[in-house]
Amino acid sequence: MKPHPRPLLVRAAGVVCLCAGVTRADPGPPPGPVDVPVPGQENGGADANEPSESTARVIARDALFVPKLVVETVQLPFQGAVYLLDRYQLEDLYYRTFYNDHRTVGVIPTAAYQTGYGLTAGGELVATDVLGEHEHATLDALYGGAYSEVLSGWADSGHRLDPLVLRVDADFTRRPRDPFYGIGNGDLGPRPQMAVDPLTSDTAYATYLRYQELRVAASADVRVIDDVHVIGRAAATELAFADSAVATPVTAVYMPDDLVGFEHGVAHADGELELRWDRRRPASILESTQHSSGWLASGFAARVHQLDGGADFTRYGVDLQDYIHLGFGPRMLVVRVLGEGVTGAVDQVPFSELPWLGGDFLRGYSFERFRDRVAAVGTVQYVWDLTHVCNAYLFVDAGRVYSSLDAMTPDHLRVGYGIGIDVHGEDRGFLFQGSIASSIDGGLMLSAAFNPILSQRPRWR
Amino acid sequence: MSAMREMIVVAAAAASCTATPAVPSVHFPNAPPVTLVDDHRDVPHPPEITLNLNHYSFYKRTVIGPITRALELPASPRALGVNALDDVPDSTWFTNRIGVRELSPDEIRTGPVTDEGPELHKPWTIRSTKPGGAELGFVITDARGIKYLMKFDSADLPELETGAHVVVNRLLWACGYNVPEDVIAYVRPSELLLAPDATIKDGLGRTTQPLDRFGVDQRLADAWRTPDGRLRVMVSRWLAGTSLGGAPVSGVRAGDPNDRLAHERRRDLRGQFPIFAWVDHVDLGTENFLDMWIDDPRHPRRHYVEHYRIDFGKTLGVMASTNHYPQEGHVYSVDYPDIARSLVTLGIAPRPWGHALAPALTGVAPTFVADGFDPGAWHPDTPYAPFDEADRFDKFWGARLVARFTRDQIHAAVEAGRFSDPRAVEYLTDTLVARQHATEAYWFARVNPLVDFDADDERLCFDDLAIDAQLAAADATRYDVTSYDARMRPLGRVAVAASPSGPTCTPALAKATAADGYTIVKIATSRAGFSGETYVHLARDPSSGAWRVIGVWRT
Repeated sequence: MKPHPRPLLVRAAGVVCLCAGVTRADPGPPPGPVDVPVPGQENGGADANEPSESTARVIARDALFVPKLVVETVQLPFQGAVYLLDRYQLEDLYYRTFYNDHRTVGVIPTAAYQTGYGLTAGGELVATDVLGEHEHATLDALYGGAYSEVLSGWADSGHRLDPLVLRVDADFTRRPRDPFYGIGNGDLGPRPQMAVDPLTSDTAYATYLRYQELRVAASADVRVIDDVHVIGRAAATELAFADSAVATPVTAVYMPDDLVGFEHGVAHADGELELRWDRRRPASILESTQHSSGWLASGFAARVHQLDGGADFTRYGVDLQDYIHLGFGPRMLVVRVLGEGVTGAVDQVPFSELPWLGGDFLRGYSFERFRDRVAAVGTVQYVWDLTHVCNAYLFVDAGRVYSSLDAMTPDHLRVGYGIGIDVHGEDRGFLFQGSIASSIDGGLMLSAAFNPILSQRPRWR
Repeated sequence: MSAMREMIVVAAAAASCTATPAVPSVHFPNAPPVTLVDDHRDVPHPPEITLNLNHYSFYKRTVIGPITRALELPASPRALGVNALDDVPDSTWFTNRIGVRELSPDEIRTGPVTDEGPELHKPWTIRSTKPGGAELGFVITDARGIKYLMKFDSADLPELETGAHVVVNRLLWACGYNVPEDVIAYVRPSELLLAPDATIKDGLGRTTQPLDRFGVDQRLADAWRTPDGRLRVMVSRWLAGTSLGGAPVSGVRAGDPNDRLAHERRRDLRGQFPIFAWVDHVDLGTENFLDMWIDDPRHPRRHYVEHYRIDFGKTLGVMASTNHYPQEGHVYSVDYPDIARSLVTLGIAPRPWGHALAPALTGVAPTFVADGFDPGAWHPDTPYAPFDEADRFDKFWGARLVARFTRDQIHAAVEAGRFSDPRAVEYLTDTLVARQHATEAYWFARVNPLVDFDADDERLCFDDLAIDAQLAAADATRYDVTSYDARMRPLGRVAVAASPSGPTCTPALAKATAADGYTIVKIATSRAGFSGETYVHLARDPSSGAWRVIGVWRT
């Protein structure tokens, strides 16, 4: 560029003293240089001759006064909440109240209200750096009445044994209303006049049961090379069931004798080996989500030994995911195939151990809507950004359960579809996912999730 | 005074006699341009403090502000704080520097810094964590006892935030804005001592709890270090005076009698738009501005408020990287029209971002590019009231400041970032120069870009910035020059060809003879793809009788 040919402003303090209505009255004595104008007098009032607003604009503005008032009133509670958050530094106050000075040990209070269940309240004790190598320990306690309780905890070795991470888990959980729709891929039908055998009848009707789980587990996760992990797990589990007291009980529709494990409970020990190759990652530093490119291939097999004399069986599964990056934002296509199976017969495997679909896995259908010896679901999900902390997605899930691997055909697939949004932090941390889904069988499902839908499926709930 | 009153009366009379006047009815007093305003009057007590309410400010400006503003159908009157020549006088907000006086590259490289900085005065003592803002930082004192704010680069973005911070500090200082003394330095963790009374500050700057060594190490764990273990830091000398928080984005600060112009109407704030677009200064939260109640250096018992811009670590494309958001600079972080467009089109509609990326160089953000830079469509991260109100005249003013930098001056500013890779210095310089050209091309085509008017007894001379910047050919440019008297009656008309180099001068112009000879000269510029008019007001200096330019009005 060129040097400027001559000074733009000749530094001569001018005498300009016309006030043109844009200034406030000078409140004090003029102690400064008397020949220097105050702000608002720079151009000698030339701007005072600007044309005034048009009548049309004034009328339109008046007409919009009421809508504006409505908007401002409706949003006032949100504005007030945000103001309080900042004015009283509530986030900081929370950490100072519930965490230690270094924020490595803290309590996260939780409370939830659910229609039919009442209030559930509790807390989570979290330690993120127990021995200085980011060893993690968590203890959860929730109470919502006699049959709504959770007491669980886990701890891992953090970075101390890199590339090995050891972890132990223990939990005692009671839930008052877990669903059971029978076994198989059957359509929902009317409530039968009398209890049916779930092993032979394809009657599907929404029933509910109480669920109690006592479990201890240990795992070792070895990072073999960068993205390849070998994970060994061992667990001992004791399950107990009973009719739900707050919704249609299982035994009102299904014969309890034929529901393996329902009457006497389940006790088993299992050992599992998983091989996971996880190359999912942000496509670039500019991507706002944790995963926007790469793929995941995971497979596991677990041998389950029934401690109460039942037949042993094997549980196995695969999870294949591919993130196809289409553009910044991100805009991407996610393709997923998930399959699980058990080797035992349905009259040998506890009904609660049968692979299931519905809810997060086969969206558009109720949670645990289908269960049988084999479950398979495929997902195609298109994701695009709305803002840097919010993506929208369209998805189609298709899958079904089968009585055996030999029976796997594309016939009678259940297909769900819908739209959703996910909200994440500027640090890419997942916060929330909400969706509206339906299916070829009708119905409308609203869901909210606080774990990513595309995270790995837990072995137990 | 009486002459001015007469002018206003004349203008009003002329306006009332003419339904649609051919000449804008604006008249200027016959006086030299104001180059300095007195906003240093004594403010005996610190004015009201602006609390740093980040989320609240974000909500008001970004979430609800655009909706209520749309329902207000706001008019956009012209800027205030502008002198008769359409320039901004010196004040506590702005000091004319580049283009007004020679600024050597060395001077720009040094910028506002007044001493050798703290790097030669170690160890440093940590006094507290950084008050406010989301980034990692500490308040320190060096071995001399001078207080600084210290910030770091995050471990995955080496040299990015610190470098951008200092580069843009130098450029904004040269433009004329008040900025702190920011420098890059290197320090070993062992050279950071911890004061026994060190504390942790909350977002409002209040002490919440003691800061211990574990807390320091915990925070430093996220900071980038050189291969030999040093921390690269940006140290900003603590501003003298009492902090009042950021200047309110609209209205004035309560309790400051010098703050007379609503901020959304100030030219020096509205005109930042093309400058901030040039350097991609998207982070315009309240915490990026700071008002200080200071002692008047001329009268120690008197005080006034000085207005600073601070914290430029998210400029030069950095915020897109730290926030993982390539849209930065193109849309607001919550941008309703863009959200609606994205929702309806499923994100398939073409978007202007992400097509060109910078080379992978340490210290260079991937989105800081010249390709695809649209100076008119640039957006900060959040709506900013002065930019909502800004018109093309404000942006033309800012673009003129941008245009005044030479490549050497820009290079010197970039060198202040102390980047380890010389290719980063060259890339950033080249990109800033290319974005400067884009800024000129855009804004010099939206206002008749004639400047530096000079009148003598016969002629009127001026520069055409579009020709100076080689955006338009002199031989394709014509000026139709018409003069009017104070009552806007035509006096004469000439056609003038543009000078291929240096100022263009009219032949002898017909001028008014009455009183002080108040004459309005309309210069209508025409060339391929552009036509525009500027009105230059002339009068005789009452003391010398010489013709002088007393006002410029752009349309």
